[in-house]
Amino acid sequence: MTATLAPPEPRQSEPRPRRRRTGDAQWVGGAVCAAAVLLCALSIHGVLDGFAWVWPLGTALAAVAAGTALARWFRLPTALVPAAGMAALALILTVMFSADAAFLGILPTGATLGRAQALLSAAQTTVITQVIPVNPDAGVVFVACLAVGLIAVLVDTLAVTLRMPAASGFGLFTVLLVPAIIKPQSVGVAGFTAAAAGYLLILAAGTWQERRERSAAHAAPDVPTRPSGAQAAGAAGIGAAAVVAALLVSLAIPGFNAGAFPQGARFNFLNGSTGLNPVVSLGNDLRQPTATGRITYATDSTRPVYLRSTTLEDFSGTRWAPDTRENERKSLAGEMAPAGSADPAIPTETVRTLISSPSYASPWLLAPYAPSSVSGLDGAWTWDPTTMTILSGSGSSEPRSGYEVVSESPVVTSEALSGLRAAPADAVEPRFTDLPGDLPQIIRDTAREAVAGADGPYAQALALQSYLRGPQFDYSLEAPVEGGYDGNGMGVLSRFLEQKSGYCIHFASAMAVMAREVGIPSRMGLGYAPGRATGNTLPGPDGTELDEYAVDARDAHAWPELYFEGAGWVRFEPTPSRGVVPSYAVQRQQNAASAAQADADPRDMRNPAPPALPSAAPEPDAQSQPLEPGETAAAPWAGVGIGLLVAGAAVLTPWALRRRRTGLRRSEHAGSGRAAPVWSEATDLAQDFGYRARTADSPRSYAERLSSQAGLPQPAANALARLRAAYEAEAYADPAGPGPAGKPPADWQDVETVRTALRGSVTVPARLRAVFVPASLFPAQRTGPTPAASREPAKPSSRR
Amino acid sequence: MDTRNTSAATAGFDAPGAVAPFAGSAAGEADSFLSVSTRILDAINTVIDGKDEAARLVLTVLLAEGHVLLEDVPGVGKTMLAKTLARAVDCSVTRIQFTPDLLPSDVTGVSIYNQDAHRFEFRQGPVFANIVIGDEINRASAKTQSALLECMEERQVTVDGGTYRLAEPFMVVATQNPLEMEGTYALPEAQRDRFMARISLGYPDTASEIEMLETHQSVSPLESIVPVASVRDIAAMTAKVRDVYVSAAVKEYTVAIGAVTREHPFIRLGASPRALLQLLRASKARAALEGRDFVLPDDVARLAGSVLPHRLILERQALGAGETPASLLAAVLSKVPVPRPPGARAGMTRP
Repeated sequence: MTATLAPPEPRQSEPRPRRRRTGDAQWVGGAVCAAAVLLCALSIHGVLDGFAWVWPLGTALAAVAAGTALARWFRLPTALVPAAGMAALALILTVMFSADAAFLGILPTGATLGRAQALLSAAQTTVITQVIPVNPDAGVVFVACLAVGLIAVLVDTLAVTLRMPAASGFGLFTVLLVPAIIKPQSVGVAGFTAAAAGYLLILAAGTWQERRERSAAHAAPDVPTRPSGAQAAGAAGIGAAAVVAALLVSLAIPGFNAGAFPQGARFNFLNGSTGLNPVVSLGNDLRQPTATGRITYATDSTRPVYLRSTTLEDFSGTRWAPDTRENERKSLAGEMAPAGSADPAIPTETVRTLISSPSYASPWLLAPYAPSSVSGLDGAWTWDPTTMTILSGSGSSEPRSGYEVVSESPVVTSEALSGLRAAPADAVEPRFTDLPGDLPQIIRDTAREAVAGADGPYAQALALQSYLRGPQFDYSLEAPVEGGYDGNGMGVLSRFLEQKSGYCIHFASAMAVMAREVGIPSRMGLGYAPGRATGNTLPGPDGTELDEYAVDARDAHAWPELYFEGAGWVRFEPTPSRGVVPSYAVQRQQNAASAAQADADPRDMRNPAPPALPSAAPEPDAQSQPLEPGETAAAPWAGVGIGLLVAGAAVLTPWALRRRRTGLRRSEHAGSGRAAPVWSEATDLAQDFGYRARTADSPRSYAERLSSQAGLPQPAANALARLRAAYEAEAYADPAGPGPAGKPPADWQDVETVRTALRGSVTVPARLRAVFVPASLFPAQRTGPTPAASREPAKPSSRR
Repeated sequence: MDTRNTSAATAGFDAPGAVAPFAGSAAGEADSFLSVSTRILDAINTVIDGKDEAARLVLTVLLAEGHVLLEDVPGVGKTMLAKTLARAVDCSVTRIQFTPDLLPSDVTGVSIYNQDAHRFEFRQGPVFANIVIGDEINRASAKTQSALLECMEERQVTVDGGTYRLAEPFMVVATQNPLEMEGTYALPEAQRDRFMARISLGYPDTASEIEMLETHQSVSPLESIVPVASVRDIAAMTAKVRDVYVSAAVKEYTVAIGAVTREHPFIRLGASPRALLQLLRASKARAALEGRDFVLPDDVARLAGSVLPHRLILERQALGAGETPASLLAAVLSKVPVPRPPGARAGMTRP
C-alpha cells in the first residue's frame, strides 16, 4: 500500500505533505473497503455457479475504490466522494456490459439504459426460473455487480468518509444476507471467515488511519505504519474471546438445527409464500417445520388428488426449470384436451375440484390432472396441450382465493397397461424422450440393472418404481442438504443414486430419466401430494358434497409421469413414504403392506393410527417425518438443563460445604465462647486464599508467616494476633489457671477483618478459587515445608 | 594456679530505684519477673552489642537452673557475655581458666591441715559460687573436666568424705573453642549432655561491630555494669519458672521431637530423656521470660535448636553428606506436627 505514496517534494510547504499523508490513509481505507466487500461477496459462490463472476465483480469494486480514491486525491467535497464512487461504478458497468451501446464505449447513453433494463429483466427471469446455483449469465452478473458496487460505496462512505468503520459491518452484512437466505447451507464457514476477515481489515485500516492522522497532526517524524505488538496481541485476545464466546453460546443454546431453525440459524422468511418456482422452493418447502402455505381443495373424487402446477421435461441442462413454451400455449377459454389423446376405449373419469390457494403465489395454476375446464379465474391464462399446465398469461404470481377445475383423466388399470407395447419414436415430442449425451454412466447402469428381466414398458416402469421404493433407498430431507445437492441436474442425480438418499425431486427425476433411458417417454410433475382430509365438506355445484382436504408446504411433491401409447400420461410414485401409489402402479408381487398403501383414501386418515396405512401422506409430526422439532428441541434442552444443574452442583458443593463449616464454627463459638473454632476458621480462610500451612506450623509460626506473606495491613495483623493469642491461651495454658475472664477473648469480628484483608491480598482467580474450591476442604493438598524451608535452620541456630 | 576472680559479692545490695520491691500479688510477681529480666538483658546488651538472642538464651538457662556452653572462636565475647551476666546479677562469680595441667582439686577445693586447730579444713574451690565461668573448658584434661561436670550435675562437692553443698543458684558458664582448634580435649558426649544449652555467639553484624569499636575504645564497658538483680530475685524467678504450666500437647510435642531424633537414619545418638527434660525446662523459662505462664510449642521448637544439637551424634554418612546436627534438627522440626489440644476436631492438621 505504501508503495504508492509519493514522497513529499522538497519545495512544498509543511502542511501540504501532511494533508497528502491523510489522503493516503483514506486511499488505503477505500481500497480496504473494496477488498472487504469482495471478500464478503465470495460467499455468493453457490448462489451463482462457478467463479466466473468474480472477475467482473472485482473489476466493479476496483472501479468504485478508484473513483472514491480519485475524489479524495483531488480533495472534492466529502459529499461528492460517494457520488464519484457511483459514477465510477456506472462507467465500469457500461464498459463491461454495454460497451457497444455506449458513447466511445465508455459513456452511458440512452441505449445503455435500455440495455440495463433488458439485463435486469433477464436477471429476474433467471431468479424466478432457475434453481441455485444459477448460471452466471450477463443479467445476473450485472445485478450482482450493481448491487455489490453500491454496497461498496456505502461501506466506503461509512468506514472512510464518516470514519465509522465498525458501522460498515451493516453493508457487509447486506452482502452476506443474500447467500445466507438463499443457499441451503447458508453462508458456510469459508464464506463467514472471509467476511470476518474483510470486516477486521476495515477495522484495522480504520485504526491505522486514525493513528496516522493523529501522528500527522502532531507532526511526528516516525509514523508507525502498523499496530504495535501489544495492540495486535490485545486484538487477537479480544477476537479469540469473541470466537470462544460465540461457540460456547451456540453450544449452550440448543435447537439451532431443529425447531424454528431447521437448517441452522438461517433466514427462512422468503419461503413464507410458496411456489415462485416449484423446483426452487420445493426442497425448502419440504423442510418447513411448521405448516405454511395452506391450500385447501374439495373434490368429488373418491381417490386422493394430486395438485399439479407444472412439469419438467427438459433434462438436458445442468439444472432443470419448467419450460413455459410460450409459442405452443393456447388461451384458456373453453374446453381443454390433452394432445395425443388416449385410446377412447379406456374409460375416463371426471373429477370436479374446488381449490383455494390464498397463500400460493405462482404463475402456474394448481390443478388435478388432466384439467378440462377451469372456472372462477380472473385474468388471462394459457394452457399447454402437451403438458396440460396452466400458466398466467401475464406472468402474475398472485395467489388465487378460489377456483374450480374439472379434470378428466383416463381410468387406467394395470391390466390395460400391461398389454401396451413400447411407444413409437414419434408418438410424443422429442423433448419428452431426449437425454443429454453426457448422461452419467451410473444412471445408465442403474436403469439397466433395475429393469433387468422386465418385459414391456409397463413392467419396466413398475421395476423402476419398485427399485426406487426398495429398502436401500432412504427418504431424507437432510442428507441431500448436507451433501450439498439440493436441487436437480444430472450431477445431483448421479450422486443421489450413489448415496441412495434424497427426497421426492431426486426420486422423481431419477425415475423419469431412467425411464427415458429404457425407452419410455417421461416428464416430471411438480405440485402437491394429496394432503390430509379436514373432515369438512363443501357443497358441490349440483347438490353433491365435496370432501375437503388440506395441503401445505410440507406436501410439496414431485413425481414422474410416463407416457404409454394408448393410455397417455400415467403418474407413478417412486418416492418412499410420500404420496400415494396409484392402484395400477402396484405390482402384484408386492406385499400386503405396500398394496394397502395403494390408493389409500385420505379420509381414513382421520383415524388416529390407521395400522394399514403406515405412511401414506403422513401427518407432519408423525414418526416418519425426518424432522421432529418437538422432540429434537426438547432433548437438548433437557440435556443442557441437566448438564447445567450438574455443573452448578459441582461448582457449588465445595462452596456449600465450606459455608456450612463456617456456620458450624460460628455457632459453636457463639455457644461456648471458645477460641478454637474462631482460630480454625481464620486459618482455614488463609488456606483457602492460598496461604498453605506446613505440617510443623504452630499457630504462632503460621500467623507470623501469614502476616508477612499476605502483607496484612496493621488492623488485620492485629486481629490475627488477637485470635492467635486467644487460641494459644485456650489450647496450651493451664485450664485450672485463671478463668475465661483472664484470657484474651476471641472475637468473630476479627475473622471478618482477616477475611477482608486476605481477599485484598490475592488476585481475582485466587479469590474465586477461595470461594468455589476452598483448599481447606481438601486435606490431601496439604503441603509439607518447601525444600528451601527445610534447609532453613531453626531459630536460634548454632552459628559459627 | 587457679585464677580466682571473685567479684564483689555483697549480698542484699539494692541499687536504689533499680529493683522494684517484690510484691505479693501474682500480677506483681509477673510484673517484677518481667522487669528484672528486662533489666538484666538491657545490662548485657550495653556490653555486648547485637547479641540479644544469645543473652536471652543465657538468662533462660540461668532461670531454668541449667548450665550453658558457649562455643565459638576466640574473641567474639564468650567470656564477656558470661562476665556481664555475672555482674548484672548481684551474686558471687568465679572464673576458672582451664589449662591442661589444671587439677580437679583446683576446681573443687582442697582439704588442708590447719596446724592451729590440728585438723583438716576444707578450702572451697572456685566452684563454690553462684556463677562459675569455666574458660576454655576443652583445654583441661578429662579428669578435671569431669570434676567440674560432676559438680554441675550433683550441685555438691564431696572431698575426703565431706559433702559440701554448692551455692544456690548455681550456673556454670563454660566456654570452649571449636574442636578443630589446636591443643584441645573434646568434651565427651556424656559431659556435653550435662549442659542445658550450647550457644554460638557468632560474629556481630556490621553496625554492632562499628558501635563496639567506638564504645569500647577507652574503658571496659564491664566497669559500668551495676548489679540489677539480687540472688533473691533470681531464686524467686526460678521458682516462678517451675510453676509455668506445660500442657499435655506440648509434652507430646517434646517427646515426639525426641522420638524423631532417635529414629532418624542420619542420627546415631538422639536426644536423651535428660535432654528432653532440659528442653522443657528451658522452654518454661523462655515462656516466663516472654510473660506467659504456659509453654507454647513455639518455645520448644525455638529452644530445641540450642538445647539439642550438641547432644546429637551423627552417622558417618550424614557427615559425608555435609549435614550438621543443627541442619538435621531443623529437618526434624519441620516434620513433627504440632499437636492440637485434646478436643480439637480431627481432620486436617491446622496450625
